[in-house]
Amino acid sequence: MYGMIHRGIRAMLIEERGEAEWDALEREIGIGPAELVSQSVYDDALTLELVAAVARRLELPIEACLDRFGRYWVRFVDRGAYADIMDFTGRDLVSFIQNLDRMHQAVLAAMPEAKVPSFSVVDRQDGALRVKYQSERTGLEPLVVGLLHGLLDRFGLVGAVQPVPSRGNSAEFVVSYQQNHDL
Amino acid sequence: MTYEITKERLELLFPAYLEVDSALRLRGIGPAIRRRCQLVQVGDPLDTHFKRIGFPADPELPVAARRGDPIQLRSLVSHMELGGSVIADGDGYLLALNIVPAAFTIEKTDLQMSDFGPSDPTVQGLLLVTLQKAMLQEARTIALDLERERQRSLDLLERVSRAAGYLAHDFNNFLSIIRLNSDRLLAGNELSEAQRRLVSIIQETSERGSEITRSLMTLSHQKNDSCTSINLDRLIADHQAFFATIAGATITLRCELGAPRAMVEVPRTGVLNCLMNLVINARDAMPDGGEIVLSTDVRTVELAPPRPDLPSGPRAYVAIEVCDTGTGMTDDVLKRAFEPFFSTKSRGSGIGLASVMEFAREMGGAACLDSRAGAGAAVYMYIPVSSLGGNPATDHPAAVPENSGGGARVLVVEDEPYALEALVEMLEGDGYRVSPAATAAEAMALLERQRHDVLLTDVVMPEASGLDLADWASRRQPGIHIVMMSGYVPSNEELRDEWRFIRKPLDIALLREMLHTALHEAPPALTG
Repeated sequence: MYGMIHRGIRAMLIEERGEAEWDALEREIGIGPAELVSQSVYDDALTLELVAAVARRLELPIEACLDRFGRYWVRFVDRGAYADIMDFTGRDLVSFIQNLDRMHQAVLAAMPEAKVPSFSVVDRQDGALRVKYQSERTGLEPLVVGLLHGLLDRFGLVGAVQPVPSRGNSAEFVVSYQQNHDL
Repeated sequence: MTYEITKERLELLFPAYLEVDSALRLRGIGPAIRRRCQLVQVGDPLDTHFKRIGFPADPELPVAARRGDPIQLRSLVSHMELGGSVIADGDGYLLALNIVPAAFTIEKTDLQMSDFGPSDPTVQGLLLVTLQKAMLQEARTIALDLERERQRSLDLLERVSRAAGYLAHDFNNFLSIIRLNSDRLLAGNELSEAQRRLVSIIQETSERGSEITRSLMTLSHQKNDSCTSINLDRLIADHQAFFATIAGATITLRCELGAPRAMVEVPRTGVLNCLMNLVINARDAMPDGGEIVLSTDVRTVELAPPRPDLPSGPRAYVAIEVCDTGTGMTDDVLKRAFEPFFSTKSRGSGIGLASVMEFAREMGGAACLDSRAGAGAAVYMYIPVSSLGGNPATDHPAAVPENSGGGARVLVVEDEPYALEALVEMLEGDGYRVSPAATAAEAMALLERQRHDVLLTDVVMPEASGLDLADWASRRQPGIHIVMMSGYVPSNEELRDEWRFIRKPLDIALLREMLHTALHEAPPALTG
């Protein structure tokens, strides 16, 4: 995965446990700044090793850690250099998800080695969406659940994300939501 | 040809469309215009909100529709331009328009992807431009992170290096005490032959330990590593035990030194670091053991000048070769071996060979590599010869008879009591009159009271250094001979020309020769 993911994972651990914890993790798995270059594409095995190490430090199962990172990722990208792109992609949940593939196409043009997933809205009702997710990678469904939760937060919504049975190499999620009136 | 299109599809394909009637009043407005220009209402004249721009200037819409001319509009109520074409639609016109971002940016524009049609290439362009800016911004952040990390590593390295230097210095002092006291044992006649043999083993082992600690001390004094005239054969011989330690127990390290008179101008620690990197690389290429040969030779060759200020043409170089019997390199690895950050090791930094190349070039030389997969590797480092007039190193001081002191008065300053005791006994045995002092202050008090022929002082001591003491003594008693002793070699700036220096652990024969020679020279102040 590309290094920006690694930077996001680092930011999450530092935010939750402080810099010393990240330093200890770097020593544990033998990485340093050279593994945190946003535009470099790294072996997925390294990214998974990183997630596993963070999960241990947060005392979470890997799936829960991926979910938490998904939520965090949306906030992380939203406050960094890519915030304008997030705004441009969509100002509401539906258009954002519908436009994600176009945004990822641009990422792919800039970083041809990246493997980007595909998202589409396959059904839409009042207060509910059915989102289809496709990726060359497997096992990242908990991350997608977290990402969708992160998007609900981003657009001032509250709701639930429920994986639903699907066929082939895709996964589907029902996102039910309503406006968060506490905001 | 007639096409039908639903409003929903029209809004998707041309989110910034406008529909006008024959009087050019708006009768339909696309979602991107509705969102961005809320003043624009159905029924308003088109020219209340939009001005025709571009070329050809202001053709009538029927003409533009018939000819297929492109049209461009500029919003009079917001910073927005639109471009597209006109399609006749019954008694009116459909303006199939797209937003044309004026500055081709999405920053502070309130633009959204949904303001553009699904196949509008503008979106990809805008995203790429914005991505590029974001990536540049991130690259700056990452560059700062890397620099911070580099600095942190350097600070850590310096601290560790300094600590290693202090430890090595103290350890060397202990070895010096062992050496001096084993000399005392040998000086007596009480030992049997077997016991003498055991003492010799102790001496030899402490000497090997001392060689390693001296290498550590040299490597830990990197701060003022300026170029000095060095004989590389001597340097390699001095540090051979250290290289053998780095190579490890399963590897034999052999030195074949063939440049005994060649002097080069290099920073001592810099060249040691290079050799250390090369030995480490060779070791890592032989996980199951093997042999490293470290050899030198003087060769006259023509190398491409590594710097524009250096002359071209053939010249003499000391060629250092570090060759191993390891796994060797494939052609692909060989081509990239000197690249910074390229490494075939799982946790390799990829800076070892790159730094060797950089060092050799900085010195006006070069580095190259010869290897085949499965057939070992040889790295060559060429360093320009500054002169060929160096004296071949000799480890054998001229024999000076014992009891050669002749009553000369020697002030010995040493903060290690066991070393001081041994030195005093040995020098007194040689016929010197010896005053012992454990600190510089004690020595100064003795010098105030009594004239001395020689000051033999340790360099690193608590409170005041031997260098300061020697400086004070030279002024207080002009003509006194100064002999400094230490585990680390002070720089040329620290030592005066007329002072002598002997390395710890002390070689008693060398010390005898040094004192004997000093006392048979004219006093330093008189030679002016």
